[in-house]
Amino acid sequence: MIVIIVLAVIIVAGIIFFWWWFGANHQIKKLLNSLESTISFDNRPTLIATSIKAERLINYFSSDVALDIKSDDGLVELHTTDREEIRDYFLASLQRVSLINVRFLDTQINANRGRASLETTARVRVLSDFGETNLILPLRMVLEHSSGDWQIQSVSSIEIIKRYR
Amino acid sequence: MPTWRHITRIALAALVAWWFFSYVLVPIRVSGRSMEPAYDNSDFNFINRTAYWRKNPARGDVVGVSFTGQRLMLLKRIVGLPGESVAIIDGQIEINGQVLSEPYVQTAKQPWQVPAVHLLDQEYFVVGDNRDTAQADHVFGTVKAERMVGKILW
Repeated sequence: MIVIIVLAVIIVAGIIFFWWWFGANHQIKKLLNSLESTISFDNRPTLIATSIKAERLINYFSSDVALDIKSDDGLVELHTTDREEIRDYFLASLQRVSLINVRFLDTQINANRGRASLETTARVRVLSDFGETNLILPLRMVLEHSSGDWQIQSVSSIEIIKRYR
Repeated sequence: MPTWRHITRIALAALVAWWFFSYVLVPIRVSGRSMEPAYDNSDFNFINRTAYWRKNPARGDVVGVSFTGQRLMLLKRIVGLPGESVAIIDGQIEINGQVLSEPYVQTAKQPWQVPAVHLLDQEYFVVGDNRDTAQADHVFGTVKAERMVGKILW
């Protein structure tokens, strides 16, 4: 009897683990973690490492991507529908900074049948010749699932407080 | 040797603690100077998520405004309530044309200028206590009620 109970528990745990591991939420969180490490670096990377990072970055986005990002202080501003331009923006940023650290926090995912929308807060730390800058960017993303992978279709800033300057 | 009873008790206590500090009192660490002198950089406090279960946010309340969750929040003071008109003239806040008394502001007020803003239903005007910064450098303005996580505990 005990053997049957233990087997049943193991089978149920296995099903839950399988369901969680291959679920959209986990896959999307893995994608964001991978994106974090692609964008971030502690020391200015070598030319080869830069090229690898830049080429890898393109693959996170779908070919019909739309970016509409603006930080509150205007330090980050990117509006494009061309993923090549995202790579160029990243490469240009690398010339100006010596450290970028990006973390996606408080990610809320809503996935349904090959599409997902999420809200997340990107905490960005940048070191440049002008000193240290810390940014907080609340973002909304739309992702699509195609050819076995999730890709980012759009990224836009969320206005938390309507400001008056 | 720990018994199953001990393990169950510890697990239950951990579960209750997780629930309490996620849904009732959310611990926070203040980062930045926008709420000085009431709340200094690195101060420790809690956001009481139950504060607005039975009543609406009130003027003077210090609230946590969430970005997309609870790990990062803005700490601001409510100065304008839904339906009111808020203006800032030379750094002085006016509600429906009347100057607002703000004893919590101890710093010099920079000459901020905001033309009258009419707050819609579920909209609040929030601002930090430290007004000794340039207007462009201080995050303040209107926020939806749904973004307010709760009221600071002390």
